[in-house]
Amino acid sequence: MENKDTSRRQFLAAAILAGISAGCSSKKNPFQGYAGDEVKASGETVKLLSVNGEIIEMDKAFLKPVPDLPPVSNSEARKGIEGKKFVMVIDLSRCKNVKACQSACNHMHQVHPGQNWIKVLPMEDSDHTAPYWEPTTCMHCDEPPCVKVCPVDATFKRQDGIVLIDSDRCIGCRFCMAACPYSTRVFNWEEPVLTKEVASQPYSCESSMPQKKGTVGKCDFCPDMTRKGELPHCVSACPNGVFFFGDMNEDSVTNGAETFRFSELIKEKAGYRLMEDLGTKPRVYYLPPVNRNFPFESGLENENADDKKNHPK
Amino acid sequence: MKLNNHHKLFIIILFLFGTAISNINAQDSVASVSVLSVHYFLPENKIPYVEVSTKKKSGRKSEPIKGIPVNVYFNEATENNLLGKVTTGINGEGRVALPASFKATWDSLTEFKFVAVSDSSGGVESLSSDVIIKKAILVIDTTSADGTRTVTAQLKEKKGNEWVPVKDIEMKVGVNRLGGILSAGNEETYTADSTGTATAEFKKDSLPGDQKGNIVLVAKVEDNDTYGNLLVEKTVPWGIAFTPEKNFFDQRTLWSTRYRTPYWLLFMAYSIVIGVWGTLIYLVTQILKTRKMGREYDRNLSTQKSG
Amino acid sequence: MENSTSLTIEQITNDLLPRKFRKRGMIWTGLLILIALVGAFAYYRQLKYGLVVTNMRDYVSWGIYISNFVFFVAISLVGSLITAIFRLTNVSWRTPLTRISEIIAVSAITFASLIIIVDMGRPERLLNLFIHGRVQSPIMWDVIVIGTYFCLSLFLLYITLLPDIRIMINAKDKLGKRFSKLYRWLGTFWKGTAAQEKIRNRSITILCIVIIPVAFSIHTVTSWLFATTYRPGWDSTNFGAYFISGAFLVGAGAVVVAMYVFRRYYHLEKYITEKHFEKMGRVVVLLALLYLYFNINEYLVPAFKMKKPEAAHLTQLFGGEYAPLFWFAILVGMIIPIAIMLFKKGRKPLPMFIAGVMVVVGAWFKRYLIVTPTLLHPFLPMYNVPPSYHHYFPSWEEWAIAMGSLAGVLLIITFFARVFPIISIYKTLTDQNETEQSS
Repeated sequence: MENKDTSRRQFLAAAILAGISAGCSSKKNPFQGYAGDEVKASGETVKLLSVNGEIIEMDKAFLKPVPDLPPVSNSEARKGIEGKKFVMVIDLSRCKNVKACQSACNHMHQVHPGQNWIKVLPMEDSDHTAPYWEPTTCMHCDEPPCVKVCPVDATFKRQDGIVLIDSDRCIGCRFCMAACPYSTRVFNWEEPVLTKEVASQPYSCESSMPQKKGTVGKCDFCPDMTRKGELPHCVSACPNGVFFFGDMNEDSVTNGAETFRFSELIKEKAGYRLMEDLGTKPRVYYLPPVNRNFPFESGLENENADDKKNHPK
Repeated sequence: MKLNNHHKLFIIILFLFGTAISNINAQDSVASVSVLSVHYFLPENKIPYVEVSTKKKSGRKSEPIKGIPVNVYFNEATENNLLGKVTTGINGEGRVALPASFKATWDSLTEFKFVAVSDSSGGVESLSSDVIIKKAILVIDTTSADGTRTVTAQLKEKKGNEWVPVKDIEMKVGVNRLGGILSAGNEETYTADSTGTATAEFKKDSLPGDQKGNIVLVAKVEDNDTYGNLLVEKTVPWGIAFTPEKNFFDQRTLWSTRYRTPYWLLFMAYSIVIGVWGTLIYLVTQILKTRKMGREYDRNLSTQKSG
Repeated sequence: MENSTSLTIEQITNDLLPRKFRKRGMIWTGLLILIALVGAFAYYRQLKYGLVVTNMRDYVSWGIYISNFVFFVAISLVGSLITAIFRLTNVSWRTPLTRISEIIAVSAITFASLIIIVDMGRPERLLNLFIHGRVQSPIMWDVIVIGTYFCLSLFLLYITLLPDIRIMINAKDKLGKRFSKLYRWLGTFWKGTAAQEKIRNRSITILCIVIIPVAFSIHTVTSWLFATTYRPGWDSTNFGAYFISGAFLVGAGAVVVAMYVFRRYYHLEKYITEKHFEKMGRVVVLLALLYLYFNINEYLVPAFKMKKPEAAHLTQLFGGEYAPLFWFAILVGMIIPIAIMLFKKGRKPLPMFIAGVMVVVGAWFKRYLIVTPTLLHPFLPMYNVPPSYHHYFPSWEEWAIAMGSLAGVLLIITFFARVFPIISIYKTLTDQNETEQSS
């Protein structure tokens, strides 16, 4: 019984600290990796062996690789995670148009077939400049034109920098789609194709699932993943390490394998943002396609038939 | 004869076409393979666990399979050697820690073989996989001498009753950040030298930490063939204090919520609406006045008639 | 001013009272109802399957529903033009035109609101606009001003109708029982006493003063739905004035068409005289020249610079895929009508009617050209999308709904003419009295 109280006290202390601390995980839970300490204690304990041969009693909930986090309420989802400022860096010198990011994102969010929240665009700034592949996600702008024009607060800016959509509030006027200069938003023109499991789960802004007919959808920086301390699906899926994701308040971005200091990375590699002069203040930085890992042409192999016909001139 | 040659050509083309089609179909079916993998983890030198993961690989893509019951055994897959059972979760992963009953075996040996066997009730054929590891701990330490800070890490294995550092182990030494470890110095990984110590000079100055300026240093051994995965942390006050933004939702901007409309906009909108609707309401009352006048007129008319 | 021959009160009243529909009226109404029903069926399909029944997709996310909306808001400005501006500037020949323009205004603004609801992906969440509305959004501004303008226009129509209702209540024997209950409910309190008249006159004047800035604001705010975005063709500081001048033009054109139709089918030649057409012709040609001026500003200036995002858009309009439609809208919507109306011969009823129809048709296509081509030139290339996303031509459901909404506007006007006098009897009588007194 005493052990139970200790672990519960520890759990509460961890939960409070988790809310305030930025970037460091308070190691109250030796079992869990780097995930948030908001796991619900199940109450069931089990006796386990430590490496030294000691016997320690632990709550069963902490054994799960994917923690059972309590569902986030709508008002919490609108506020966002305190103390974080998510940022993404896309390294254009590494992109080969593999589109693993696109398929992972489409699969995990059950995006309607034919639509993509991530587009990998063949860009050529002008006639004599080099062509390159440019993956675009939602820029999660700090002065988002989409949020400015939404009449019902269905899209909103959170304190952690993420711009989310509330599909329970959206009236489907599509003004945000007209306002976004990056053309990143898609619309659910018909009933979305969902698995039974996803269709029956309660709607959460953070997972953006299940999508609803007649509402707008877009890349959400996977807040449900970052709450657990994991990286967005596109970042983990890319085989060439193109996407870097991190917290500006920690000054660090990672693609899973490599971690860099964000300020250093942008300075050294001359990072820039898209359409800077529009004043939207996007949160996605690009590293210019210098010292390419792959020639542009190697990405053409992966172009599907429709895109080949409509290849931008 | 011409006809024969044409026939031959036609048959050859048909054959090639046929094989091409069957090849395309073969491409789709060659792929899907179910894989069970086993790994050993020891976080913070506390409770070690064995993680099993079931995946379906098709070509380059791999998808996790959930709901597969897996049994983890020590050394061989027999009833007596069962360490634990787990059903893979949403990520296709499950963890089994060592039960207290295993203590005697754990204390007596230094090398262990963990065998994982999945049963076919999850819809996938029975698979088996194993991993062999040596018992070890990972320790991290820090030194500060004339302005330079150094982080050292040692992987120690059990030799008799002592923990002895192991040389030539590659590990990551750095600062804990979201989703990864930021290397302490300029190198991505550090290798333990002949004394079994990996030394990293801490070069990340002015790194933002928590509100008190603390950062968490991390040493990590990843996917080592002999020792598995180990991780250890240490909190040090080597960062700069970070104050979180408290008033994010107080700002009044064009992209705030409806409760934080900029004052100038509120003023303009309300003055126009009040001005116009005020006038309209006034006019409606005026017309209602004429209604009263009309009723009075009717009454006067009827009293005139009767009177 | 004066009618060539002075008419008796009885004659005027007889001519102007609403009449039953004869064969042509019935066919016209039946046709409109049929078109409206087809539109309703198309909307049912849209509610069932979603907006996928339209041909709007992720790039062209606004199509003819929105261009129809802009068109209707534009036409509804005419109420304030003819009634308010002409009254405040003492234009004496406005009398036969005021009620026509007021009902066009009310009817058009009603269907503007309806078509915008049709365009919504989630129409059942309409109340969210009021419960969760954000004042920062240009759509909220549009909702507020359109709602206000609707109320103001309806009220203006009502108080100018009051004296005529009294005339119709008194003419019960000629009109029959059909709508007498309605007339009595609306205006039995109106006796025409001097005191009532004083209040009414003052109210109309105040209303006219207030309705002008509101009318200006509805089309300005509608233009800001486009001008507050970054897109080429929309990112223009000119949009407010450009849209308003276009609105006055198309409204005036619509009034000319209505003038001709009512004059011909109700035999109102003594009231809507050739002089009226001549004067309206001058007004319309002036408005057309003004709109042409704004168009030149809107297209010539960016074409001089040919900034990258605008270059492709302008090239497509001037010489590319949309060139036939663009030049059609300019020629038929502005230039040819100007050519017709600059000459006195062209300001006769029939040429004016043709010019009016051209103005309205040209204006509809002009609104379409404002909404769709811009959306086909996003900043980032259209890629990783199905081939249907690269083009836009409305589907039959969209056409049916658009035509249905147009039929709805015409139905409201038709029914109004059936129930109420389309020319203000009271005002006509008052005018005649004044001219007789002054001569």
